Amino acid sequence: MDAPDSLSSAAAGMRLQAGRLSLIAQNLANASTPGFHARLEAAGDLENSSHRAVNASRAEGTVRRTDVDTDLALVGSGYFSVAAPEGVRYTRDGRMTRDAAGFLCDSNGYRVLGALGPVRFAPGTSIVADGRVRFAGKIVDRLRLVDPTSARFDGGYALAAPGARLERATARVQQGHLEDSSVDAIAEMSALIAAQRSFEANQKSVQRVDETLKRAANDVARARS
Amino acid sequence: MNRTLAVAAAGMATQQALLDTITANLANVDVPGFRVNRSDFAPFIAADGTAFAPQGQPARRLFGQGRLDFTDNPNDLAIEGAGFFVVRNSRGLCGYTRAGNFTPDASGRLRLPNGATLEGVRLPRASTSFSIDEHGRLFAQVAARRVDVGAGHIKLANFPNPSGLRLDADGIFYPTADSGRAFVGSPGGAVGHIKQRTLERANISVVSAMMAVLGAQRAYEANAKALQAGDEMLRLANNLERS
Repeated sequence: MDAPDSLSSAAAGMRLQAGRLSLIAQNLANASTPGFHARLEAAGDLENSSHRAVNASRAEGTVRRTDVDTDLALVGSGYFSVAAPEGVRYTRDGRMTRDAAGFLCDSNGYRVLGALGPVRFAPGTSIVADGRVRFAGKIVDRLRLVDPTSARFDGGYALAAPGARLERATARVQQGHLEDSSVDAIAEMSALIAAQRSFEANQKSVQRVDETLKRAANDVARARS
Repeated sequence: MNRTLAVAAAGMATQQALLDTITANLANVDVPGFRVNRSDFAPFIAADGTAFAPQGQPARRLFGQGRLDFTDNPNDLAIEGAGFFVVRNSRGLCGYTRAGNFTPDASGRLRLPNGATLEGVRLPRASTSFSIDEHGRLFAQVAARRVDVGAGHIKLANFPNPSGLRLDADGIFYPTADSGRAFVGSPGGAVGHIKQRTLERANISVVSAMMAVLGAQRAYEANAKALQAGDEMLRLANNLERS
């Protein structure tokens, strides 16, 4: 490997670590966002570090009891379906509420979808673990819990990628609970230290290579003359 | 790199907003009938999978049951269940409240400390005390009369979406388009029961509020560390060229 090569690979290392830190900052900023899943770097080759895919971690946040009857936590993989103005969107954020007409809706006011369209949620309605909606002792509806085979994100919501199959989710619903952010602060902080130190090491090697190149450019020419 | 700094700074602002809400809740821990506020943040993830700082949303008021304390004061009323007292404020507007620390005034109305009066109730002259049956009917004991006198009927109200109610500076809730129309009923049904000689405290759990304070503080620190690390990386990058 000649000198300009090692210069660019050390610079690429710096860029990679800066990208890692950016991801860590994103996760830490969402340390208290309910239903947020930590972002992970997708495994890939280190050479092509400018465009690295980012995936959501499969790890779930801890489920916390809130005793609010419209708080729903999903345990297991899956999403709630909501009717956004642009079409059906998916979310794991279970901080639902009731609208003035008595329908269950999410924190943006979009109605949550069940088997029969928007779900009515009168006071006293309960939701069974498999998503069935029970009112006055009778099953009246079932939440549409889906698990798209591939999903992409758009703002606060996931939507099914074109051609993805929508499978019925295996997730269980826990009423009166919320899923906390799955960001692990300790793991993020140690990753932060690692990224910082590798950045420093790469910076040092850029300087070392720079030094060598300077020698080659100045001293070699001087020796000839 | 600049985005790292921006995201970390926004993360700090998020935790700051969270702390503001918690401290506002804790400041009201002794206000009868106070309803706790919850700060809400929604994730925001771009199409390429990068997460931005969470989107702040208006805090949401939660209407869970508060602790019921026995006070032995016959004028203290509390609701066990989901309803609201219907009161008329000093400007004559109809409002709704969970506070039950009433005192009878000279005209026989039951008044809250903020001047609002309980609808549907008027104690007769020279009444010494009153009792409430399970349907909310009031019976006053009057000096020099052997039989109790009917003094009105307390009704309770509820809304399709209580979180949509607007809390005014006088501590009374007023309906909005979000809350939906009030439905009024006699106590004992879906609107809850009235308990006399009892006060409902704020529905705050001090322990979980303190836990949330600790969590927010540490998350703030972690975001500050990420900001520092981003700054340090920029400094190192600027020092690449040693002259």
